[in-house]
Amino acid sequence: MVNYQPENWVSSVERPDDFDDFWGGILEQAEKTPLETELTFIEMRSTPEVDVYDIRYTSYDGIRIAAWYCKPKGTGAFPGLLHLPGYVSEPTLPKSLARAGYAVIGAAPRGKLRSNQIFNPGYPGLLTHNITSKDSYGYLGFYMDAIRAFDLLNEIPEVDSKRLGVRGDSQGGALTLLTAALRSEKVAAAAAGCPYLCSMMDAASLTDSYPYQEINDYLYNYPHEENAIRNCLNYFDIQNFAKQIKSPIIVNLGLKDDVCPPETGFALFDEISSGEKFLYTYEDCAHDAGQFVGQAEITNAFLAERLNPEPVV
Amino acid sequence: MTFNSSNADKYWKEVDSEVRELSNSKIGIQKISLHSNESSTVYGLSIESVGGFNIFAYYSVPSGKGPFPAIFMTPSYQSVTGVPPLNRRKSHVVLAVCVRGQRLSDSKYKSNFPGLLTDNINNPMKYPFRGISADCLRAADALFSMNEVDTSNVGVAGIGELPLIVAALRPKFKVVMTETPFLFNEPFNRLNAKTDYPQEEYADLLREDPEALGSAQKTVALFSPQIHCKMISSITRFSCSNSEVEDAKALANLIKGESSIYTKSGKGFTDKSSGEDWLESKLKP
Repeated sequence: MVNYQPENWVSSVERPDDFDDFWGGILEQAEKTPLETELTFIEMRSTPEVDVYDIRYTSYDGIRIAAWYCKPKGTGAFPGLLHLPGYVSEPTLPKSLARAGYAVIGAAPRGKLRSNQIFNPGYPGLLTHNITSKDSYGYLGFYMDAIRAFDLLNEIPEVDSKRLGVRGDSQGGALTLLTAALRSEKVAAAAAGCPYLCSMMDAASLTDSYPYQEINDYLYNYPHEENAIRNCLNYFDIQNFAKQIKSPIIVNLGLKDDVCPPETGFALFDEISSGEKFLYTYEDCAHDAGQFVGQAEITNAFLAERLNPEPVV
Repeated sequence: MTFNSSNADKYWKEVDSEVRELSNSKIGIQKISLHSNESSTVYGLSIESVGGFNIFAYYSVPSGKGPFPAIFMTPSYQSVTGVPPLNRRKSHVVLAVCVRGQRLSDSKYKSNFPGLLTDNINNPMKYPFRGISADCLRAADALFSMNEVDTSNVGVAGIGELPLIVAALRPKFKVVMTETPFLFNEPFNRLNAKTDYPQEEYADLLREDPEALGSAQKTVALFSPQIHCKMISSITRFSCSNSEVEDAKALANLIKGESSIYTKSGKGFTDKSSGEDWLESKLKP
Protein backbone atom coordinates (compact mmCIF):
# COMPACT_ATOMS: atom_id res chain seq x y z
CA MET A 1 0.00 0.00 0.00
CA VAL A 2 1.33 3.43 -0.95
CA ASN A 3 1.61 5.87 1.95
CA TYR A 4 -0.52 8.86 0.92
CA GLN A 5 1.30 12.15 1.39
CA PRO A 6 -0.93 15.21 1.20
CA GLU A 7 2.08 17.51 0.77
CA ASN A 8 2.70 15.98 -2.66
CA TRP A 9 -0.80 16.66 -3.91
CA VAL A 10 -1.14 19.02 -6.88
CA SER A 11 -3.84 21.69 -7.14
CA SER A 12 -5.90 21.92 -10.32
CA VAL A 13 -6.51 25.66 -9.94
CA GLU A 14 -5.68 27.71 -13.01
CA ARG A 15 -4.80 31.40 -12.95
CA PRO A 16 -6.91 33.32 -15.49
CA ASP A 17 -4.87 35.48 -17.87
CA ASP A 18 -6.74 38.59 -16.76
CA PHE A 19 -6.58 37.77 -13.04
CA ASP A 20 -4.46 40.80 -12.13
CA ASP A 21 -6.51 43.14 -14.32
CA PHE A 22 -9.74 41.86 -12.82
CA TRP A 23 -8.63 42.46 -9.24
CA GLY A 24 -6.88 45.70 -10.14
CA GLY A 25 -10.20 47.06 -11.39
CA ILE A 26 -12.12 45.84 -8.35
CA LEU A 27 -9.57 47.29 -5.94
CA GLU A 28 -9.59 50.62 -7.75
CA GLN A 29 -13.36 50.76 -7.47
CA ALA A 30 -13.26 49.80 -3.78
CA GLU A 31 -10.57 52.38 -2.96
CA LYS A 32 -12.54 55.13 -4.69
CA THR A 33 -15.36 54.66 -2.18
CA PRO A 34 -14.73 56.82 0.93
CA LEU A 35 -14.77 54.74 4.11
CA GLU A 36 -16.98 57.27 5.95
CA THR A 37 -15.97 55.66 9.23
CA GLU A 38 -18.20 56.02 12.29
CA LEU A 39 -16.99 54.97 15.73
CA THR A 40 -19.36 54.49 18.65
CA PHE A 41 -17.91 53.85 22.09
CA ILE A 42 -19.54 50.85 23.79
CA GLU A 43 -19.33 51.55 27.47
CA MET A 44 -20.94 48.27 28.52
CA ARG A 45 -18.29 46.15 26.83
CA SER A 46 -15.34 48.38 27.79
CA THR A 47 -13.18 47.68 30.84
CA PRO A 48 -10.66 49.67 32.88
CA GLU A 49 -7.98 48.30 30.53
CA VAL A 50 -9.72 48.14 27.14
CA ASP A 51 -11.95 50.48 25.13
CA VAL A 52 -14.55 48.84 22.87
CA TYR A 53 -16.14 50.54 19.86
CA ASP A 54 -18.67 49.63 17.22
CA ILE A 55 -17.27 50.71 13.85
CA ARG A 56 -19.19 51.20 10.63
CA TYR A 57 -17.56 51.87 7.28
CA THR A 58 -18.58 51.99 3.64
CA SER A 59 -17.17 49.28 1.40
CA TYR A 60 -17.38 48.12 -2.19
CA ASP A 61 -20.72 48.91 -3.88
CA GLY A 62 -21.53 51.39 -1.13
CA ILE A 63 -22.54 48.77 1.44
CA ARG A 64 -22.12 49.71 5.10
CA ILE A 65 -20.07 47.17 7.03
CA ALA A 66 -19.85 46.65 10.79
CA ALA A 67 -16.84 45.77 12.87
CA TRP A 68 -15.70 45.72 16.48
CA TYR A 69 -12.71 47.80 17.45
CA CYS A 70 -10.92 47.15 20.74
CA LYS A 71 -7.80 48.93 21.93
CA PRO A 72 -5.84 49.29 25.15
CA LYS A 73 -6.66 52.44 27.14
CA GLY A 74 -4.39 55.34 26.22
CA THR A 75 -3.23 57.09 23.12
CA GLY A 76 -0.79 54.58 21.67
CA ALA A 77 0.76 54.13 19.30
CA PHE A 78 -0.38 50.50 19.36
CA PRO A 79 0.37 47.72 16.91
CA GLY A 80 -2.73 47.09 14.76
CA LEU A 81 -4.30 43.73 14.15
CA LEU A 82 -7.15 42.76 11.84
CA HIS A 83 -9.03 39.66 12.97
CA LEU A 84 -11.15 38.01 10.29
CA PRO A 85 -14.06 35.65 10.93
CA GLY A 86 -14.84 32.06 10.02
CA TYR A 87 -17.70 31.00 7.77
CA VAL A 88 -20.56 30.45 10.21
CA SER A 89 -19.17 32.02 13.36
CA GLU A 90 -19.90 35.57 14.36
CA PRO A 91 -17.01 38.04 14.23
CA THR A 92 -15.05 38.02 17.45
CA LEU A 93 -15.30 40.99 19.75
CA PRO A 94 -11.53 40.92 20.15
CA LYS A 95 -11.19 42.21 23.70
CA SER A 96 -8.69 39.51 24.65
CA LEU A 97 -6.35 40.61 21.84
CA ALA A 98 -6.61 44.20 23.04
CA ARG A 99 -5.61 42.99 26.51
CA ALA A 100 -2.55 41.53 24.80
CA GLY A 101 -1.66 45.04 23.63
CA TYR A 102 -3.10 45.31 20.13
CA ALA A 103 -5.53 47.79 18.63
CA VAL A 104 -7.78 45.25 16.93
CA ILE A 105 -10.55 45.28 14.39
CA GLY A 106 -12.88 42.26 14.32
CA ALA A 107 -14.57 42.67 10.95
CA ALA A 108 -18.06 41.51 9.99
CA PRO A 109 -17.98 41.34 6.16
CA ARG A 110 -21.29 41.63 4.32
CA GLY A 111 -23.81 38.93 5.18
CA LYS A 112 -22.57 38.59 8.76
CA LEU A 113 -24.87 39.87 11.49
CA ARG A 114 -24.88 43.70 11.64
CA SER A 115 -23.70 43.81 7.99
CA ASN A 116 -26.58 41.90 6.41
CA GLN A 117 -29.29 44.46 5.75
CA ILE A 118 -28.61 44.53 2.01
CA PHE A 119 -26.61 41.39 1.27
CA ASN A 120 -27.72 38.29 3.16
CA PRO A 121 -27.19 35.00 1.32
CA GLY A 122 -27.18 33.05 4.59
CA TYR A 123 -25.28 29.98 5.76
CA PRO A 124 -25.46 27.75 3.79
CA GLY A 125 -25.61 30.12 0.85
CA LEU A 126 -22.60 32.44 0.71
CA LEU A 127 -20.25 29.94 -0.92
CA THR A 128 -22.57 29.33 -3.87
CA HIS A 129 -24.17 32.78 -4.16
CA ASN A 130 -23.98 33.69 -7.87
CA ILE A 131 -21.20 31.12 -8.19
CA THR A 132 -21.21 31.12 -11.98
CA SER A 133 -20.47 34.84 -12.37
CA LYS A 134 -17.17 36.41 -11.36
CA ASP A 135 -18.74 39.86 -11.53
CA SER A 136 -21.45 39.14 -8.99
CA TYR A 137 -20.14 36.18 -6.97
CA GLY A 138 -20.91 36.53 -3.25
CA TYR A 139 -17.28 36.64 -2.23
CA LEU A 140 -16.49 39.63 -4.47
CA GLY A 141 -17.75 42.27 -2.07
CA PHE A 142 -16.94 40.06 0.91
CA TYR A 143 -13.26 40.01 -0.06
CA MET A 144 -13.23 43.78 -0.47
CA ASP A 145 -14.83 44.25 2.95
CA ALA A 146 -11.81 42.53 4.50
CA ILE A 147 -9.36 44.63 2.51
CA ARG A 148 -11.12 47.86 3.38
CA ALA A 149 -11.18 46.87 7.06
CA PHE A 150 -7.40 46.64 6.83
CA ASP A 151 -7.25 50.06 5.14
CA LEU A 152 -9.40 51.45 7.93
CA LEU A 153 -7.06 50.00 10.57
CA ASN A 154 -4.16 51.65 8.80
CA GLU A 155 -5.89 55.05 9.05
CA ILE A 156 -6.67 54.99 12.78
CA PRO A 157 -4.48 57.65 14.44
CA GLU A 158 -3.44 55.60 17.49
CA VAL A 159 -2.41 52.63 15.33
CA ASP A 160 1.24 52.34 14.33
CA SER A 161 1.01 51.79 10.58
CA LYS A 162 4.42 50.14 10.56
CA ARG A 163 3.20 47.39 12.88
CA LEU A 164 0.10 45.98 11.19
CA GLY A 165 -0.86 42.34 11.36
CA VAL A 166 -3.72 40.16 10.20
CA ARG A 167 -4.97 36.84 11.50
CA GLY A 168 -7.84 34.38 11.27
CA ASP A 169 -8.77 30.74 10.98
CA SER A 170 -10.65 28.86 8.28
CA GLN A 171 -12.48 31.54 6.25
CA GLY A 172 -10.59 34.01 8.42
CA GLY A 173 -7.40 32.24 7.32
CA ALA A 174 -8.37 32.68 3.68
CA LEU A 175 -9.10 36.37 4.18
CA THR A 176 -5.82 36.74 6.05
CA LEU A 177 -3.96 35.36 3.04
CA LEU A 178 -5.96 37.60 0.73
CA THR A 179 -5.10 40.67 2.80
CA ALA A 180 -1.44 39.71 2.99
CA ALA A 181 -1.45 39.39 -0.81
CA LEU A 182 -3.31 42.59 -1.70
CA ARG A 183 -1.70 44.70 1.01
CA SER A 184 1.70 43.05 0.96
CA GLU A 185 3.52 46.37 1.35
CA LYS A 186 1.72 47.09 4.64
CA VAL A 187 1.28 43.73 6.39
CA ALA A 188 4.13 43.19 8.85
CA ALA A 189 2.94 39.74 10.01
CA ALA A 190 0.12 37.35 9.13
CA ALA A 191 -1.21 34.17 10.70
CA ALA A 192 -3.59 31.92 8.76
CA GLY A 193 -5.03 28.82 10.41
CA CYS A 194 -6.54 25.93 8.40
CA PRO A 195 -7.25 28.23 5.43
CA TYR A 196 -10.48 27.83 3.53
CA LEU A 197 -11.17 28.91 -0.09
CA CYS A 198 -7.93 27.33 -1.33
CA SER A 199 -8.21 25.00 -4.36
CA MET A 200 -11.94 25.19 -3.87
CA MET A 201 -13.13 22.78 -6.55
CA ASP A 202 -10.54 20.23 -5.53
CA ALA A 203 -11.46 20.66 -1.88
CA ALA A 204 -15.09 19.90 -2.66
CA SER A 205 -14.04 16.62 -4.23
CA LEU A 206 -11.87 15.76 -1.21
CA THR A 207 -14.55 16.21 1.45
CA ASP A 208 -18.25 15.89 2.07
CA SER A 209 -18.25 18.28 5.03
CA TYR A 210 -19.88 21.70 4.90
CA PRO A 211 -19.21 24.40 3.79
CA TYR A 212 -17.46 22.81 0.74
CA GLN A 213 -20.35 20.36 0.57
CA GLU A 214 -22.40 23.36 -0.60
CA ILE A 215 -20.50 23.11 -3.89
CA ASN A 216 -21.17 19.36 -4.10
CA ASP A 217 -24.86 19.96 -3.38
CA TYR A 218 -24.95 22.58 -6.11
CA LEU A 219 -23.18 20.37 -8.65
CA TYR A 220 -25.48 17.45 -7.82
CA ASN A 221 -28.41 19.62 -8.80
CA TYR A 222 -26.77 21.61 -11.61
CA PRO A 223 -24.03 19.38 -13.09
CA HIS A 224 -24.01 21.28 -16.38
CA GLU A 225 -22.69 24.37 -14.60
CA GLU A 226 -19.41 22.79 -13.49
CA ASN A 227 -17.23 24.57 -16.02
CA ALA A 228 -18.82 27.94 -15.33
CA ILE A 229 -18.29 27.43 -11.61
CA ARG A 230 -14.67 26.39 -12.08
CA ASN A 231 -14.02 29.42 -14.29
CA CYS A 232 -15.56 31.77 -11.75
CA LEU A 233 -13.80 30.26 -8.74
CA ASN A 234 -10.41 30.54 -10.44
CA TYR A 235 -10.71 34.29 -9.88
CA PHE A 236 -11.47 33.88 -6.19
CA ASP A 237 -9.26 30.97 -5.27
CA ILE A 238 -6.75 32.01 -2.63
CA GLN A 239 -4.24 29.72 -4.33
CA ASN A 240 -4.01 32.34 -7.06
CA PHE A 241 -3.20 35.15 -4.61
CA ALA A 242 -0.44 33.28 -2.77
CA LYS A 243 2.45 34.42 -4.96
CA GLN A 244 1.74 38.04 -4.00
CA ILE A 245 2.32 37.32 -0.30
CA LYS A 246 5.68 38.78 0.74
CA SER A 247 5.09 39.36 4.46
CA PRO A 248 6.27 37.12 7.31
CA ILE A 249 3.54 34.51 7.62
CA ILE A 250 2.63 31.45 9.64
CA VAL A 251 0.20 28.76 8.45
CA ASN A 252 -1.09 25.83 10.48
CA LEU A 253 -2.95 22.75 9.27
CA GLY A 254 -4.72 19.75 10.78
CA LEU A 255 -3.62 16.67 8.87
CA LYS A 256 -7.08 15.12 9.28
CA ASP A 257 -9.08 18.27 8.61
CA ASP A 258 -12.35 17.23 6.96
CA VAL A 259 -13.52 20.84 6.56
CA CYS A 260 -10.51 22.32 4.76
CA PRO A 261 -8.51 19.37 3.41
CA PRO A 262 -4.82 19.69 4.31
CA GLU A 263 -3.78 18.95 0.72
CA THR A 264 -5.08 22.35 -0.26
CA GLY A 265 -3.16 24.01 2.57
CA PHE A 266 0.13 22.42 1.52
CA ALA A 267 -0.38 23.52 -2.09
CA LEU A 268 -1.18 27.02 -0.93
CA PHE A 269 1.85 27.23 1.33
CA ASP A 270 4.18 26.14 -1.50
CA GLU A 271 3.01 29.11 -3.58
CA ILE A 272 3.61 31.80 -0.94
CA SER A 273 6.52 34.03 -2.00
CA SER A 274 7.49 35.30 1.45
CA GLY A 275 11.06 34.60 2.47
CA GLU A 276 9.86 34.23 6.04
CA LYS A 277 7.11 31.63 5.98
CA PHE A 278 6.45 28.88 8.49
CA LEU A 279 4.18 25.85 8.29
CA TYR A 280 2.97 23.89 11.32
CA THR A 281 1.11 20.63 10.81
CA TYR A 282 -0.66 18.48 13.36
CA GLU A 283 -1.30 14.75 13.29
CA ASP A 284 -4.79 13.66 14.36
CA CYS A 285 -6.03 17.24 14.31
CA ALA A 286 -8.97 18.28 12.19
CA HIS A 287 -10.27 21.82 11.69
CA ASP A 288 -8.84 22.78 15.08
CA ALA A 289 -5.43 22.63 13.34
CA GLY A 290 -3.50 22.23 16.56
CA GLN A 291 -4.85 25.25 18.40
CA PHE A 292 -5.44 23.22 21.58
CA VAL A 293 -2.08 21.48 21.52
CA GLY A 294 0.24 24.46 21.30
CA GLN A 295 -0.54 26.29 18.05
CA ALA A 296 -2.39 29.14 19.75
CA GLU A 297 0.75 29.96 21.76
CA ILE A 298 2.96 29.64 18.66
CA THR A 299 0.72 32.01 16.67
CA ASN A 300 0.57 34.54 19.50
CA ALA A 301 4.35 34.48 19.90
CA PHE A 302 4.92 34.81 16.14
CA LEU A 303 2.75 37.92 15.95
CA ALA A 304 4.11 39.41 19.17
CA GLU A 305 7.70 39.01 18.02
CA ARG A 306 7.01 41.02 14.87
CA LEU A 307 4.42 43.52 16.12
CA ASN A 308 5.76 44.11 19.63
CA PRO A 309 2.56 44.69 21.66
CA GLU A 310 2.63 45.63 25.34
CA PRO A 311 0.05 43.55 27.23
CA VAL A 312 -2.24 45.49 29.55
CA VAL A 313 -3.47 42.58 31.71
CA MET B 1 -25.33 30.94 44.99
CA THR B 2 -27.79 28.27 46.07
CA PHE B 3 -30.86 27.68 44.02
CA ASN B 4 -34.32 26.79 45.11
CA SER B 5 -35.05 23.52 43.36
CA SER B 6 -38.80 23.82 43.87
CA ASN B 7 -38.75 27.12 41.95
CA ALA B 8 -36.83 25.41 39.18
CA ASP B 9 -39.25 22.50 39.19
CA LYS B 10 -42.20 24.90 38.81
CA TYR B 11 -40.42 26.91 36.11
CA TRP B 12 -39.66 23.89 33.95
CA LYS B 13 -43.08 22.33 34.47
CA GLU B 14 -44.59 25.52 33.09
CA VAL B 15 -42.26 25.46 30.10
CA ASP B 16 -43.11 21.82 29.46
CA SER B 17 -46.81 22.48 29.84
CA GLU B 18 -46.70 25.31 27.30
CA VAL B 19 -44.85 23.05 24.88
CA ARG B 20 -47.30 20.19 25.32
CA GLU B 21 -50.22 22.52 24.63
CA LEU B 22 -48.88 22.74 21.09
CA SER B 23 -48.68 18.99 20.59
CA ASN B 24 -51.49 18.98 18.03
CA SER B 25 -50.09 21.90 16.08
CA LYS B 26 -49.38 20.94 12.48
CA ILE B 27 -45.76 20.75 11.38
CA GLY B 28 -44.97 22.12 7.93
CA ILE B 29 -42.57 20.05 5.86
CA GLN B 30 -40.95 20.89 2.55
CA LYS B 31 -38.23 19.06 0.65
CA ILE B 32 -34.98 20.99 0.11
CA SER B 33 -33.70 19.57 -3.17
CA LEU B 34 -30.49 21.59 -3.06
CA HIS B 35 -29.18 19.70 -0.03
CA SER B 36 -30.64 16.28 -0.83
CA ASN B 37 -28.65 13.57 -2.58
CA GLU B 38 -28.62 9.85 -3.24
CA SER B 39 -27.92 8.97 0.39
CA SER B 40 -30.43 11.23 2.16
CA THR B 41 -33.29 13.64 1.60
CA VAL B 42 -33.32 16.94 3.45
CA TYR B 43 -36.51 18.75 4.41
CA GLY B 44 -37.24 22.06 6.07
CA LEU B 45 -39.65 21.87 8.98
CA SER B 46 -41.81 24.74 10.11
CA ILE B 47 -42.74 24.28 13.75
CA GLU B 48 -44.98 26.42 15.93
CA SER B 49 -43.39 27.08 19.29
CA VAL B 50 -44.39 28.82 22.50
CA GLY B 51 -45.03 32.55 22.57
CA GLY B 52 -46.24 32.64 18.98
CA PHE B 53 -42.84 31.86 17.51
CA ASN B 54 -42.37 29.86 14.35
CA ILE B 55 -39.09 28.00 14.11
CA PHE B 56 -37.25 26.26 11.32
CA ALA B 57 -35.44 22.93 11.47
CA TYR B 58 -33.45 20.86 9.01
CA TYR B 59 -34.76 17.29 8.89
CA SER B 60 -32.83 14.62 7.02
CA VAL B 61 -33.95 11.07 6.23
CA PRO B 62 -31.60 8.37 4.91
CA SER B 63 -32.43 6.62 1.67
CA GLY B 64 -33.80 3.10 2.11
CA LYS B 65 -36.32 1.47 4.31
CA GLY B 66 -36.71 2.71 7.87
CA PRO B 67 -37.34 3.11 10.67
CA PHE B 68 -33.92 4.59 11.39
CA PRO B 69 -32.12 5.57 14.56
CA ALA B 70 -32.22 9.32 14.98
CA ILE B 71 -30.07 12.18 16.21
CA PHE B 72 -31.45 15.46 17.51
CA MET B 73 -28.88 18.25 17.22
CA THR B 74 -29.26 21.18 19.60
CA PRO B 75 -27.88 24.52 18.43
CA SER B 76 -24.56 26.06 19.41
CA TYR B 77 -24.15 29.58 20.76
CA GLN B 78 -24.06 31.26 17.36
CA SER B 79 -26.46 32.67 14.80
CA VAL B 80 -26.27 29.70 12.43
CA THR B 81 -27.49 26.13 12.62
CA GLY B 82 -26.18 24.42 9.54
CA VAL B 83 -27.41 21.60 7.35
CA PRO B 84 -26.75 18.32 9.25
CA PRO B 85 -23.44 16.68 8.35
CA LEU B 86 -23.44 13.86 5.81
CA ASN B 87 -21.65 11.40 8.07
CA ARG B 88 -24.70 11.41 10.36
CA ARG B 89 -27.26 11.68 7.58
CA LYS B 90 -26.18 8.50 5.80
CA SER B 91 -27.51 6.16 8.47
CA HIS B 92 -29.59 8.28 10.84
CA VAL B 93 -32.59 10.51 10.70
CA VAL B 94 -31.19 13.87 11.80
CA LEU B 95 -33.03 16.94 13.01
CA ALA B 96 -31.07 20.18 13.52
CA VAL B 97 -33.11 23.02 14.95
CA CYS B 98 -32.70 26.76 14.40
CA VAL B 99 -34.06 28.20 17.62
CA ARG B 100 -35.62 31.64 17.99
CA GLY B 101 -33.15 34.41 17.29
CA GLN B 102 -31.02 32.27 15.00
CA ARG B 103 -31.03 32.69 11.24
CA LEU B 104 -34.14 31.16 9.61
CA SER B 105 -36.02 31.53 12.92
CA ASP B 106 -35.51 35.22 13.52
CA SER B 107 -38.62 36.93 12.21
CA LYS B 108 -39.79 37.95 15.71
CA TYR B 109 -36.51 38.10 17.60
CA LYS B 110 -32.91 38.42 16.43
CA SER B 111 -30.16 37.27 18.76
CA ASN B 112 -27.05 39.38 19.18
CA PHE B 113 -23.59 37.89 19.65
CA PRO B 114 -22.46 39.11 22.11
CA GLY B 115 -25.72 39.96 23.82
CA LEU B 116 -27.96 36.91 23.85
CA LEU B 117 -26.55 35.48 27.07
CA THR B 118 -27.55 38.47 29.21
CA ASP B 119 -30.60 39.73 27.32
CA ASN B 120 -33.48 40.09 29.82
CA ILE B 121 -31.48 38.08 32.33
CA ASN B 122 -33.19 39.87 35.21
CA ASN B 123 -36.51 38.29 34.25
CA PRO B 124 -36.60 34.49 34.00
CA MET B 125 -39.94 34.54 32.18
CA LYS B 126 -38.54 36.77 29.44
CA TYR B 127 -35.04 35.31 29.35
CA PRO B 128 -34.46 34.09 25.73
CA PHE B 129 -33.12 30.74 26.85
CA ARG B 130 -36.56 29.88 28.22
CA GLY B 131 -37.99 30.15 24.73
CA ILE B 132 -34.91 28.55 23.20
CA SER B 133 -35.35 25.56 25.50
CA ALA B 134 -39.03 25.37 24.54
CA ASP B 135 -38.07 25.47 20.85
CA CYS B 136 -35.74 22.52 21.39
CA LEU B 137 -38.49 20.56 23.14
CA ARG B 138 -40.96 21.32 20.33
CA ALA B 139 -38.43 20.17 17.77
CA ALA B 140 -37.68 17.03 19.80
CA ASP B 141 -41.39 16.22 19.94
CA ALA B 142 -41.59 16.74 16.18
CA LEU B 143 -38.75 14.26 15.70
CA PHE B 144 -40.41 11.60 17.85
CA SER B 145 -43.63 12.02 15.87
CA MET B 146 -42.04 11.09 12.56
CA ASN B 147 -42.93 7.69 11.08
CA GLU B 148 -39.43 6.98 9.82
CA VAL B 149 -37.88 7.32 13.28
CA ASP B 150 -37.07 4.29 15.42
CA THR B 151 -38.25 5.98 18.61
CA SER B 152 -36.38 3.52 20.82
CA ASN B 153 -33.08 4.65 19.31
CA VAL B 154 -32.94 8.41 19.47
CA GLY B 155 -30.05 10.48 20.80
CA VAL B 156 -29.56 14.16 21.53
CA ALA B 157 -26.20 15.74 20.86
CA GLY B 158 -24.76 19.22 21.21
CA ILE B 159 -22.72 21.57 23.34
CA GLY B 160 -23.43 22.82 26.83
CA GLU B 161 -26.73 22.66 28.69
CA LEU B 162 -29.34 22.34 25.91
CA PRO B 163 -28.83 18.57 25.33
CA LEU B 164 -29.20 18.08 29.09
CA ILE B 165 -32.37 20.17 29.31
CA VAL B 166 -33.93 18.25 26.43
CA ALA B 167 -32.95 14.85 27.84
CA ALA B 168 -34.20 15.79 31.30
CA LEU B 169 -37.63 16.80 30.03
CA ARG B 170 -37.92 14.11 27.36
CA PRO B 171 -36.77 10.82 28.93
CA LYS B 172 -37.56 9.01 25.66
CA PHE B 173 -34.05 9.89 24.50
CA LYS B 174 -31.90 6.79 24.75
CA VAL B 175 -28.61 8.69 24.83
CA VAL B 176 -27.35 12.21 25.40
CA MET B 177 -23.96 13.52 24.34
CA THR B 178 -22.75 16.93 25.41
CA GLU B 179 -19.50 18.79 25.78
CA THR B 180 -18.09 21.82 27.50
CA PRO B 181 -18.21 24.79 27.68
CA PHE B 182 -21.29 25.19 29.85
CA LEU B 183 -22.88 28.63 30.01
CA PHE B 184 -24.88 28.26 33.22
CA ASN B 185 -22.70 26.23 35.59
CA GLU B 186 -22.14 28.84 38.32
CA PRO B 187 -20.66 31.25 35.77
CA PHE B 188 -20.38 34.26 38.07
CA ASN B 189 -17.98 32.36 40.31
CA ARG B 190 -15.69 31.66 37.35
CA LEU B 191 -15.17 35.16 35.98
CA ASN B 192 -11.61 36.43 35.96
CA ALA B 193 -9.43 38.96 34.13
CA LYS B 194 -8.92 36.62 31.19
CA THR B 195 -12.50 35.47 30.66
CA ASP B 196 -13.47 35.62 26.99
CA TYR B 197 -16.79 35.64 25.17
CA PRO B 198 -19.42 34.39 25.56
CA GLN B 199 -18.83 34.18 29.34
CA GLU B 200 -17.38 37.70 29.22
CA GLU B 201 -20.96 38.86 28.62
CA TYR B 202 -21.63 38.20 32.31
CA ALA B 203 -18.64 40.38 33.26
CA ASP B 204 -19.89 43.14 30.94
CA LEU B 205 -23.30 42.98 32.62
CA LEU B 206 -21.86 43.31 36.11
CA ARG B 207 -19.53 46.14 35.14
CA GLU B 208 -22.46 48.08 33.76
CA ASP B 209 -24.81 47.25 36.63
CA PRO B 210 -23.32 45.55 39.69
CA GLU B 211 -26.80 45.44 41.24
CA ALA B 212 -27.89 43.02 38.53
CA LEU B 213 -25.97 40.17 40.10
CA GLY B 214 -28.74 38.89 42.36
CA SER B 215 -31.47 38.64 39.76
CA ALA B 216 -29.07 37.35 37.12
CA GLN B 217 -27.87 34.59 39.43
CA LYS B 218 -31.45 33.56 40.11
CA THR B 219 -32.21 33.28 36.42
CA VAL B 220 -28.97 31.48 35.57
CA ALA B 221 -29.58 29.01 38.40
CA LEU B 222 -32.76 27.84 36.68
CA PHE B 223 -30.61 26.68 33.75
CA SER B 224 -27.90 25.11 35.88
CA PRO B 225 -26.85 21.70 34.53
CA GLN B 226 -27.06 20.40 38.08
CA ILE B 227 -30.85 20.71 37.96
CA HIS B 228 -31.24 18.78 34.76
CA CYS B 229 -28.59 16.12 35.31
CA LYS B 230 -30.56 14.92 38.33
CA MET B 231 -33.53 14.21 36.05
CA ILE B 232 -31.69 12.33 33.29
CA SER B 233 -32.00 8.58 32.97
CA SER B 234 -30.55 8.37 29.44
CA ILE B 235 -27.06 7.01 28.76
CA THR B 236 -25.00 10.19 29.07
CA ARG B 237 -21.56 11.20 27.85
CA PHE B 238 -19.70 14.34 28.85
CA SER B 239 -16.74 15.48 26.82
CA CYS B 240 -14.43 18.02 28.42
CA SER B 241 -10.89 19.31 28.61
CA ASN B 242 -8.50 18.09 31.26
CA SER B 243 -9.07 21.18 33.41
CA GLU B 244 -12.83 20.59 33.42
CA VAL B 245 -12.85 16.94 34.48
CA GLU B 246 -13.80 17.62 38.10
CA ASP B 247 -16.79 19.72 37.02
CA ALA B 248 -17.85 17.00 34.59
CA LYS B 249 -17.49 14.33 37.27
CA ALA B 250 -19.73 16.30 39.60
CA LEU B 251 -22.41 16.45 36.91
CA ALA B 252 -21.98 12.84 35.81
CA ASN B 253 -22.51 11.69 39.38
CA LEU B 254 -25.96 13.28 39.33
CA ILE B 255 -27.15 11.35 36.28
CA LYS B 256 -29.66 8.62 37.14
CA GLY B 257 -28.66 6.46 34.20
CA GLU B 258 -25.30 5.27 32.93
CA SER B 259 -22.78 8.09 32.48
CA SER B 260 -19.25 8.50 31.23
CA ILE B 261 -16.65 11.24 30.82
CA TYR B 262 -14.35 11.63 27.86
CA THR B 263 -11.31 13.81 28.43
CA LYS B 264 -10.42 15.60 25.22
CA SER B 265 -6.95 15.11 23.83
CA GLY B 266 -7.07 18.54 22.18
CA LYS B 267 -6.69 16.83 18.80
CA GLY B 268 -9.90 17.49 16.94
CA PHE B 269 -10.01 14.42 14.75
CA THR B 270 -9.36 12.07 17.65
CA ASP B 271 -11.92 13.78 19.86
CA LYS B 272 -14.64 14.11 17.23
CA SER B 273 -14.22 10.52 16.05
CA SER B 274 -14.49 9.28 19.60
CA GLY B 275 -17.81 11.07 20.04
CA GLU B 276 -19.24 9.95 16.72
CA ASP B 277 -18.20 6.33 17.32
CA TRP B 278 -19.75 6.40 20.79
CA LEU B 279 -23.01 7.87 19.51
CA GLU B 280 -23.28 5.39 16.68
CA SER B 281 -22.56 2.42 18.93
CA LYS B 282 -25.20 3.46 21.44
CA LEU B 283 -27.85 4.04 18.77
CA LYS B 284 -27.48 0.62 17.15
CA PRO B 285 -30.92 -1.02 17.15
